[in-house]
Amino acid sequence: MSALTSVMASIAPAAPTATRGVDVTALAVVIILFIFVGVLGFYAARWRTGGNKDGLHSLDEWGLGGRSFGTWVTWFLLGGDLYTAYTFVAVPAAMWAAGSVSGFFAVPYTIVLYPIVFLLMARLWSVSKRHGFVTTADFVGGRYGSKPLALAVAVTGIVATMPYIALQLVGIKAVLTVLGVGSADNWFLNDLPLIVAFGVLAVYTYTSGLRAPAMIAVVKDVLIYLAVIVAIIYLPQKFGGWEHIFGAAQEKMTTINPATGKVPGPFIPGADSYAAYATLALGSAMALFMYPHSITGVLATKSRNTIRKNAAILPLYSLVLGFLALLGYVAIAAGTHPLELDGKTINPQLVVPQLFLDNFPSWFAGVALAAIAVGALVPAAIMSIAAANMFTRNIYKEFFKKDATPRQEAQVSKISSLVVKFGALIFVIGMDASAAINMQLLGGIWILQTFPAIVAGLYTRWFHRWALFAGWAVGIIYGTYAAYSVVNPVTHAHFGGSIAAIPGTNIKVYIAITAFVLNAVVSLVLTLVLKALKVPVGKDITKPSDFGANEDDPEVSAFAARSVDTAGPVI
Amino acid sequence: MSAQNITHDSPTRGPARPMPYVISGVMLALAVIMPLVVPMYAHDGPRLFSFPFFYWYQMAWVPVCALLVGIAYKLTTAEDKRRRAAVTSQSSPNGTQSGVVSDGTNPVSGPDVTEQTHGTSGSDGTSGPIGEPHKGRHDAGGDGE
Repeated sequence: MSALTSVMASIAPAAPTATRGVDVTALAVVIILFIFVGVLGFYAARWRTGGNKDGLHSLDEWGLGGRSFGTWVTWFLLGGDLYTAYTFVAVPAAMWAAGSVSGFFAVPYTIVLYPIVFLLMARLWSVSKRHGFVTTADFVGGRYGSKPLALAVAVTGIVATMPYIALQLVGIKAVLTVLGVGSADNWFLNDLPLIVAFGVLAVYTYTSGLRAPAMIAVVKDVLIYLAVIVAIIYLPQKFGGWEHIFGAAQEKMTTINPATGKVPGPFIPGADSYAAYATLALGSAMALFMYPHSITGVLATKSRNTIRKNAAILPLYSLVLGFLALLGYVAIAAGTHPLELDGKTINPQLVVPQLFLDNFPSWFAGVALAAIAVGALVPAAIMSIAAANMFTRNIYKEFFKKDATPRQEAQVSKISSLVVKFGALIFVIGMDASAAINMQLLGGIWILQTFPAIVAGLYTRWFHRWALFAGWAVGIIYGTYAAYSVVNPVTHAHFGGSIAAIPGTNIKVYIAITAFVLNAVVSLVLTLVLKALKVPVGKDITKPSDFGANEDDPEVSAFAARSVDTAGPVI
Repeated sequence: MSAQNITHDSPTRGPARPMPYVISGVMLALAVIMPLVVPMYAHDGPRLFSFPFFYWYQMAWVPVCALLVGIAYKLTTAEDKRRRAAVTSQSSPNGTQSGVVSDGTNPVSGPDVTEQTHGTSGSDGTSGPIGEPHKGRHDAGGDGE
């Protein structure tokens, strides 16, 4: 029964609006909310500065919000940071186009994430607070006394973050396209709204630093929760209930697509994709808090346990993400037609914005679309700040100006945050979105290769710095090669996905995990070899007590003079 | 300043009792492993509110994970607090930590000494400058708290 009606549903509403008109009401709502958020971003410069005469003239103030965010601000900030606009656009798009393995893994991913965060991040917070570390590369450099290893971590972080920022622009672009803004003929007019949006973002990030996204994240979340809750209650009723929606999805996923000659993807993963599903979730979860923007959110908290408390309350977002993913299935039942501006090309990424526009009054669709657009601004701001901090601390200060004052650090970081955003904009305008998506895919594989150096360092000094460096290099090389070798079955382009068989077997897994295992094995074996050869292990400036310090304990700078003259590495 | 006798070697926390960490570890391990055993839930039935098992099982793990992490949070922060209290009550009478021997043996002085030790301990060539960022680091906002 349900299968039959679902066929009807998927055929019946296939009457697309041939040319895209501009939905004026929805567009007006989006613009008003956008302006409101922009003003808020500027106002944020004066938020919680506590009358500090120095203003935002240090990395701690500009780049980490004064390391002062409590539980609730952190909840909003990290919520906006981790669950990005791109996530909200791409996950339902994947569900709509290819079913559960490529889309729904986001749910176990964002569950498994929090125990990992709980375990690792309190220790990282403590050692960073005590030593004034702003980035993971600061920590790795201090822990292993190795410039090359710190540089490797920093460069990986920056390179992995850039396409991620570009993808936030893809999120804004999806909203603008659905609203009918832009022109398929004129590239400048087409990208002008995007340029304006990013101009606003760049200016308030420059003036307010991390405080701006923290404040805007609150607005964004209110909008997102509102939109998702209303959609989840209203839309299933409209489209014949969940029974029918799952029926329609199952129908689509088991019907052979004439273009590829295959079914779109599994409705429920079969035995051949168990490993892929689990490793995608695990690998993504392990990788997420290696990204500079996640670490920035963690280090901006005011006490050791703030992040742990947040690990218990952040999963609420995962529930929202789960329902958002299912909106991809709702769109199948609703017969949503995600058409590009030219009225011909189908772009799955437009599916959720289109679903809202088709089925809600214009003003409410405007609120939902604004939630996505504003949702892009929060992570884009944090990412550019995080990448800029990394550049400033681990490249500029390390290699070009060792005696940079805090004021100079903040200034360099502000300017590099502009450069980073400008680069992302060029990336999106100059190349097509698939280049950004490929780079993001690679970025996820690369960033996981910094995991052994960072995470092992939080617990033990056993690993040798050169072994970790070699492991990182092997992981990056294998991961890049494996991802390049995946060919898209339709377009025959390289970087066709992030799943590949473990070499010598038929078991398909997330490439990042295979690369990570190689990385770990190389680190382990080489550590034994290098230790046997008595290669110098480097100076460790941390002490075991640093990893348990909280905000009341004195920072190392307070007794730097006496601490350094105690003998060598602790472990 | 009250922090006069506290050095980088002073412990920030007293010794740990294993139980809170063992229990928390089990909670966290459950929340990592259970959502990843795909064969256990990759099937359609039993359905709940028309949701196939595959979908509702994973969604159900969201609140369960929050609960498990929440319990781990309560346990570890309580233990954290106890360990911290153990250190402060120990150190307050004489102002210094038991077991910290290096404090008395090393001459305590200004940045010059720091520079010297950097030179000698950094025999492998790369380690010296790493300690530098902290010297004279301007500590914005930290003093107010």
